[in-house]
Amino acid sequence: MASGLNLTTWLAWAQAAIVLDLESGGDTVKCAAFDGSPVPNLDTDTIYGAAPWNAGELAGGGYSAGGATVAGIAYTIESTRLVLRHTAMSTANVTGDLRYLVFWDDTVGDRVVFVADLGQEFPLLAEPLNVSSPDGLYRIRR
Amino acid sequence: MPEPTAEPLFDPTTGKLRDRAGLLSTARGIGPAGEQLLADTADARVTRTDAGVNVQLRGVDVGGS
Repeated sequence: MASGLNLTTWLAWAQAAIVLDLESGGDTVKCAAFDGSPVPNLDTDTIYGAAPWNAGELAGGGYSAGGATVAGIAYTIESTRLVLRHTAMSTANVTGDLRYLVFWDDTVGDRVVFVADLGQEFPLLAEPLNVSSPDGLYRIRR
Repeated sequence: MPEPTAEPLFDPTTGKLRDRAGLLSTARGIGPAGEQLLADTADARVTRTDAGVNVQLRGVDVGGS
């Protein structure tokens, strides 16, 4: 699976069945870290806490279930693209074999918005996990 | 006249290799900046440093052509 948007969430948003306010000051958006055990389908796996995003989450003394809160979210128009940016995150003392980063809306139905697939597992043993998106998390072209 | 002693390439104190410029890099792939590249794909660049595991997401382009 490649990284991408959750289409079911975005369909519901487009049809006004839900209203997501992702920018800072709006909804609380979190970034949960999972190992490689989930078998995700971005078309259907819509909710954090429901399969497959209900098992395989990383742990550790500094990691709380659900992951870190994503701060500084902002949309900006850059050339021909609408870009979502966020502040870099750092979580101390994380343990597990990282593969997926799941961005989900803790305010609106635990909706999964975006999933990053690292393609393989990366072991962490009680060490910091730092996540950034220097080029934006996603970019919507006109 | 004694021959000049060549500086050893391997520094047993640091476990690193020394190049001719005297710069150090490790034998385990950790560069001078202390960064070990774990993966570099279309989705993310993953490295390990003293600060932990660092994931730089590349972002995803949606729509357009």
